[in-house]
Parts: sequence; C-alpha cells; structure tokens
Amino acid sequence: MPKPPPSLPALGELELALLEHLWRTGESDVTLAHTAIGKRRGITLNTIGSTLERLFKKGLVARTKVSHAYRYVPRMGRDEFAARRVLTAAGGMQSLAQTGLLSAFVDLVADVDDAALDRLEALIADKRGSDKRGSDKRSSDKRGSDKRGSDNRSSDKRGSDNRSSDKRGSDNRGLDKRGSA
Amino acid sequence: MMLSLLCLFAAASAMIAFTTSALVGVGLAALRQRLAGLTPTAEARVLLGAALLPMLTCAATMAAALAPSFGWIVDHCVRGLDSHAHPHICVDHHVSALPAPMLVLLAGLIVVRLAMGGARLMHGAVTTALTGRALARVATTAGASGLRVLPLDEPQAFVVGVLRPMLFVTRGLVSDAHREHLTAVVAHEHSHLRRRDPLRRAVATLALAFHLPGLAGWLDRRLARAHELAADADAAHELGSRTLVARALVRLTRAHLQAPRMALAFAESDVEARVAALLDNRPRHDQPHRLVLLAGLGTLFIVVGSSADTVHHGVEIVLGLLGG
Repeated sequence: MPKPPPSLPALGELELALLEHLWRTGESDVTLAHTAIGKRRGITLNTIGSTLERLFKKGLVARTKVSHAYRYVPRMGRDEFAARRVLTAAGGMQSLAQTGLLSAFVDLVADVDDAALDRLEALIADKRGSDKRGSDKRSSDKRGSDKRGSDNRSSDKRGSDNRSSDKRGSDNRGLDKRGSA
Repeated sequence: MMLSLLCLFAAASAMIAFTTSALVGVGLAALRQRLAGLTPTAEARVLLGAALLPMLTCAATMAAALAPSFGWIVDHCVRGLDSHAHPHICVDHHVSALPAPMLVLLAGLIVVRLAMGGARLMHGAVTTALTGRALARVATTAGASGLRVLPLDEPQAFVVGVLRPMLFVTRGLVSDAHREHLTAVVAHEHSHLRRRDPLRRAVATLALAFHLPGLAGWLDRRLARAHELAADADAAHELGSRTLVARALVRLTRAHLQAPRMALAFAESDVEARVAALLDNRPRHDQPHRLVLLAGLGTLFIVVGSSADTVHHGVEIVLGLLGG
C-alpha cells in the first residue's frame, strides 16, 4: 500500500467524520458509511460516495473493489493522523527546520541521490576497514609485546631461580621494560 | 523632535552595525583556513561570536554615543568645542528637522531588518512551543529510555522548542529496521539539548538582523551546519565510534529519501559534509576558548565606555558626513 502524504491536505467536517467512521469500523463501503453518517445528517448516498472519493484522491484512504462496490480503509491510524495534523498546522517540519528552531537528525532538505549515498557508504566501509586493520595491528603488536614480556618474565624467573646466571636475568628485565613500553 | 532623534539613533546604529558586519565578513574570509582547522564546537563558537559582534558593538557604541543624554558626560557642543555643523544625537539639542534622506534610508533599513528578524523569531518560538506541546500529547513514552515516540513511520528524530526544547523520535526509528541507529541518533539530539543549540540559533536569528543581508544568510547557514557537525562529533565521542554515526546518517537519509515528500529540495545538502567531517579524524584545535571571547567582549565595552566623549563626537561627525 502506498504511504500516506507526510503533510495533511485541508479537510472538511464531513471528510473528518468519514475518517472517524473508518477508524472506528476498520473498513466501510459507501452504503454502510451513509447509514452511519449520512442518514443522521440528511446527506445523500451520492454525497457520501463523492466525499470518500475525495479522501481517496487526497491519499488518506485506500480502496478495493468488491463485486460492484468499493470498500474503503484508512491509510493511517488516528494517532498518526493527529501527529501529522500538528506538524501540518505548524507549517510542516521543513518549515520549522528553516526557522532554525527545529533541528532534525536527517537533513529535511537533503538533496542527495542514491549514487551519492552509495559512495558515502563505501567511504564509511573503507574507513571501518582501515580502523579495524589498525586496531588488529595494534592488538597483534600488543599481543607480541605481551608475549615477549611474558617470555622475558619466565626467563627472568629462570634467571632468578638459577643463581649462577644473574646477568641474563638483568638483561631480561631490560627487555621486559621495553615490552611494557 | 523625538522622531528626528530616533531616526538619527537608528541611522547611527545601522552605520555601526553594517560597518562591523563588513569587517566581520572580511575577517572570516581571511580566517577561512584557520576555521577549517577548528573542531566543530570551536567553529560554532566563533561563528556565534561573529553573528553577535555587530549587535554588541552597536549596543556598546550607541550607549557611549548617548552618554550626554543620560548625563554621564557633558556634550562637547555644550562646551563650545564644536561648530555644530553635524547632526546631534543628544536630547540637549532640540532637533526638529528631519535628517538627510541617506540617514532616513539607513534608519529604515535597520528598523525593517530588526522588525523582520524579531517577527520571525517570535513566530518561530511560539509555533515551536505550541507544536512541542501538541506533539507531546500525541506521543507515547518508550519504556525505560523515556523517549517521546511519535506515531510516524518515517525514521526521524528532532529537537523542537527554544527555551525548553523537547526531543522526539518516530515509531519508524525505534522499529527493528532502524533500531541499530537509534543510539547514534539519540546521542546526536541529546548533544543539541545539552549545548542549547535551539536557544543559540534563536539569539543568532535576532543578531543577524544587524548584519549585511548576504553575510547574514551565509552566517546562518554556516552556524546551522556547525551545530550539526558539533552534535555529530559529540555523539561520535560518546559512542566511541565516528563511523557508527556516519552510517546512521547515511542509512536514515536513504530511508528519508524513499519516503514521500511534499516539497522539492532547494537547499544544498549537508549530508556529504557531515559524513566527510565524521570520517576525517585529523587533530583539530578547540580554540579560542569561550572565556577568551567573553574577555574580548568585555574589553570592547570597557574601551568604548571609557572613550564615550570621542565615540559620541565621532558618531555625530560620521552621521554629518553621510548626511552630506
């Protein structure tokens, strides 16, 4: 189903009453809507039919043909309609953004095409790749230095265990220091 | 008499404001390379300072120029040091003749620009406050996060309001399709709230009325962009990943482009600039500090205030020259 328009068109009182009827019932044809709304107000079946047609053209209801009659369903819920109505009354989000007093994460007047966005995604992927390679390299360097450090510590231990090789032990402490740096 | 004095006052304000604006424009052009080397936060700070400078210079200079009217100094004309061959911006002089056409034109220009800026600001502030309150009524609060969720399917998040701005996200953004971007988007919008960007933009809107028209538009766009870049940088810092924010920006822009749009886009997009800034992690300077800018402003007021006699006389002489 196509999406409803982001800004609401102007609506008359009967159009709003019909939308309310559709939200209440879920779906309706012209006859049912006339019974619920039209008869009480003394409105003809044709007026209800043409008003539902107008709502369809405004993108607020969808319709499917069942036998010889159309069945209408609302394209947005009551809550979504209320939210869009507030934004439309304020002139729309774009208009608010242009005053500088509404800041949206996504640029409301973004004038980029899919090709530009593809290029940006590729750049981000490259950057992620290079960052990952950098971080892998750093961690492998760290692992290497840790390994050297632990080797040195074990040889240091050997050195200290073996009282006869004090010099080797002190050399290894020097390496250990370099490794930790 | 009062009308003539007000007209001279407005003309003098316009003269000072537009001269300062021209100097700010030259200064920013000369410092373009340096601006590019600043962090977005520092750039936004400098641009806001540049936006405010003509208004503040005007306030300081006009306060000094009106010093004889308030009895702070004795007017040089009263002291008999001048031949009175220029207009007088002092209530001691009972001026009744309408100022020269050039001065009336200058006065009209600044009054119209101020009125338009003020009206735009008031309208925007009232509209956004009412919109924020009305949207809060139709929004639902999402669980522990406390986010206000609007029942709209397009993925979007925005901050609306000036004094008490509110953050809204849409149902589309918290849906599974875009949930991975939610953290980055919310961090970006929280940065706007923390930095009080809507209030800064509101103050700038009024201050830009004191700028030359072309430069005012340019500064407004640059300031808006700098605020977005600063919020992006804050979000990246908070999440520890610049690419995460960049990816959210591109993905949500794509989703936004696929949604139906009521109006054609006429403005240049900032998406590419924002992504480029996020991917560029060269070291940048976070200077000048806010205190340096405030110290500069204080110095301006002290210098102008301490030379009120010269400023008063100088303004009258320049008005005389402009008036022919």
